[in-house]
Amino acid sequence: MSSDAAGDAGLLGAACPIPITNYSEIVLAHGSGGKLSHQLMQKMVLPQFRNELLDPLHDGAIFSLDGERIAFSTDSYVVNPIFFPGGDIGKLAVHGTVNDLAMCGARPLYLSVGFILEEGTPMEEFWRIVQSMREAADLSGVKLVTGDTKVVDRGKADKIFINTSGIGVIPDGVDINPTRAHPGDKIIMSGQMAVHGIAIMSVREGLEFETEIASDTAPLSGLVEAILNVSKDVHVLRDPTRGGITSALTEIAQAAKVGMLLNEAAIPISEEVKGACEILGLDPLYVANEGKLLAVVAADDAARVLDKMRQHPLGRAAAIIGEVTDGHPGFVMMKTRVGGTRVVDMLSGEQLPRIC
Amino acid sequence: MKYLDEYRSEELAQKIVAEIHRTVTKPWVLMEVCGGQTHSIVKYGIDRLLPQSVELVHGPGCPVCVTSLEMIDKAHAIAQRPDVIFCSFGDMLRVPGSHGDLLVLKSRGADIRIVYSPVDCLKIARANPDKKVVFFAIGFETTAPSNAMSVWQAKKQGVSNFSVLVSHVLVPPSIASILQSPLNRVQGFLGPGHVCVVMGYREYEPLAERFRVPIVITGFEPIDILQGTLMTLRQLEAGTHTVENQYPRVVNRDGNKVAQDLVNSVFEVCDRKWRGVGSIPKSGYKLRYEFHEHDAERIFDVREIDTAEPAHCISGLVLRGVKKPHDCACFGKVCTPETPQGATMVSAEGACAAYYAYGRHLELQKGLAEVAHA
Amino acid sequence: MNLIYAKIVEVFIEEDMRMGRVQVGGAIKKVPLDLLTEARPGDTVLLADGVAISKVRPDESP
Repeated sequence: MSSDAAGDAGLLGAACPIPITNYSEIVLAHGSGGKLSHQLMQKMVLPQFRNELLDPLHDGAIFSLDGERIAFSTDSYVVNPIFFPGGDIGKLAVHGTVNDLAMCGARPLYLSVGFILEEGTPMEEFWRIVQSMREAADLSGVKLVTGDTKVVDRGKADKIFINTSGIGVIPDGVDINPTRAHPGDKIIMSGQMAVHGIAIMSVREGLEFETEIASDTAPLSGLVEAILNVSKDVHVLRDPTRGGITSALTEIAQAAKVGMLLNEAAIPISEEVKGACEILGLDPLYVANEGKLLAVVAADDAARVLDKMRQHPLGRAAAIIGEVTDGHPGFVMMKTRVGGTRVVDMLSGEQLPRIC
Repeated sequence: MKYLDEYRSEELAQKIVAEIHRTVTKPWVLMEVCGGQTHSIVKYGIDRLLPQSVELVHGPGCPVCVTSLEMIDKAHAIAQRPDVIFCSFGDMLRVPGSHGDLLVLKSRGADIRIVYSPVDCLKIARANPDKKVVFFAIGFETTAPSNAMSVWQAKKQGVSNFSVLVSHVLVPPSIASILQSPLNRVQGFLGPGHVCVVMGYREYEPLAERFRVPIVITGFEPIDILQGTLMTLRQLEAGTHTVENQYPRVVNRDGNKVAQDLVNSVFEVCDRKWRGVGSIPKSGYKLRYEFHEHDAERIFDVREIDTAEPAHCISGLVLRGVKKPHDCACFGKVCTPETPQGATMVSAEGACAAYYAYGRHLELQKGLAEVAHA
Repeated sequence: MNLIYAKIVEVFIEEDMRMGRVQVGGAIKKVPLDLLTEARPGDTVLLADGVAISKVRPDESP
């Protein structure tokens, strides 16, 4: 450590661990779910709180209470605009935490909600969001059991921000954990990718284009229950939200110290989303999904799990998109459409439109 | 989708690859001029389908990469003003100037907006009459028509609070500059398909003749690039050096005359400084005097700032096809898309950034190249 | 900067400009057609930064 850094450490207790060459303030890309988000957590937050429940970086923490295995998760919602095709911020906030719990293999039970409201937000909009949250909670089979509301000055928030936390119970015999991905396992995607991100982009100011694309936001607990009923060898579940399927799979590959090989042509995508991605210059592999899951399943059970998914309304377009390998641990490779192969890396920065 | 899926067919790709392997008898160095072509090559792993004796080096055709540091600093000076809404293509937001990038300025409160078309800025200008709306007009000849159209329409419709900061560059002078360099290794070019949609390819004929190099105007999909590569290699093996057109579905010899007339009525040719390369005579466009009321450089009186590139960055050599990204000691280590040291890492279409985005820095570390080649 | 193929579904005049509604996959976008004097509904065009700069010849295939 240089003497300057040691000096800073003396003044502030601990030197800021983000290298000086990086951003000295928070930029939007720190919230993109890609590398900068990862770096922010890895370098600044996790080392301060290190413990055996946090360290696995699962979608939620898993622990035992009175003999029951409990999953506990939290998520905050700042989507803009707050109403979008296929949903709204309230629905997203309920489904998001329900899904994080489902990805732990848990049956979601209870949610808390925290609202941060901007002064001047129309009461009617808040009412619509609360109604929508109630419907989403009913559909997901969870109870909203505690909450909090704060209001900030106009301009200090963007209409409404929501945090939800949730608790669920994991049935006996279910062991879903990113470290369980094993060479030979199949990777199943439950439906068409990149729908949510594109639905939001289609209504962002300045980017308008006409499309039928509506967000795929949905509670995944029912789909998870269905597949856990037909297989005890579902090793990992993940809902590929921010950062898209690449970030989700890279995190699993790193956690399990395995490689992955994807088949680009097998990844489900709709013509609408493909077209919108062309317009916006986005790579759908990095675009957010809601209401979709990735399952890493033992090869012997893959066909059975795939069948079960396809019978479920949320899994009709499910497909096997690749497999876990023992080569190149920590890296996701992809066979491209024209037969070449490349590494698929996590999103670097915010995904911005391509140039040229 | 039509015009896309058939140009991404694995079966056809394998057929052309086999033909390339049959054609090549000795080593050749080809340059793809456009950043978009570089992007496709790395994204689809096309270079790995070619014989090892065929080397693709990456050209200067990424407009974000070659925008000079002065211009970036001017953009930042303008964007920081409280009376300005600064509009830009997304890629420009992360390009570091002397003091941070546009994302940092945005995080400090500057009103910076990503647009997909400069024409959309007129709408923003009309909706914000008390603000000055500035578009950062960068790009090659392909982008010139839409940029020219925005200025032309602004003048015609009297949108007086709209202006452009122009840093346009032209392809033919940069190709000449590469071929004149004593370090040049390039023997044939995949020409810039989309530039030629606008300009046609007449102006490449004297270049092919003078430097005795084949130039094949090439598209951007994997099949286009493989076909363009095959056509260039056939010429090299046969010892010919003409301009051929691989991309006739949108390119013809004369280009789009209506677009050229619009561009020529708004812009005139000027000398232009290229990031990592230096000044190239008659290699850019600037606004004609008739449009000076929409010239952001004049309106905001941004003064020249001269800043040197980091000395360890080899982007100038990468842009001229002399070096590859992984020849640089900084690549993937101190130089990443989060901490770009120079031109070719700053834009998604830059050669270094394309190598990084498609995981080639990881391959260096882990010996994954063997896996990818397998 | 962005280059894409799109199919014209409708041609109209807006603020003195010849405009088109164009389809990319399943998404629709409004773009100026001023630079393509003879483009008609049904034609496929190449867009550069939201402006149509060329018709795509339908008979070309790889």
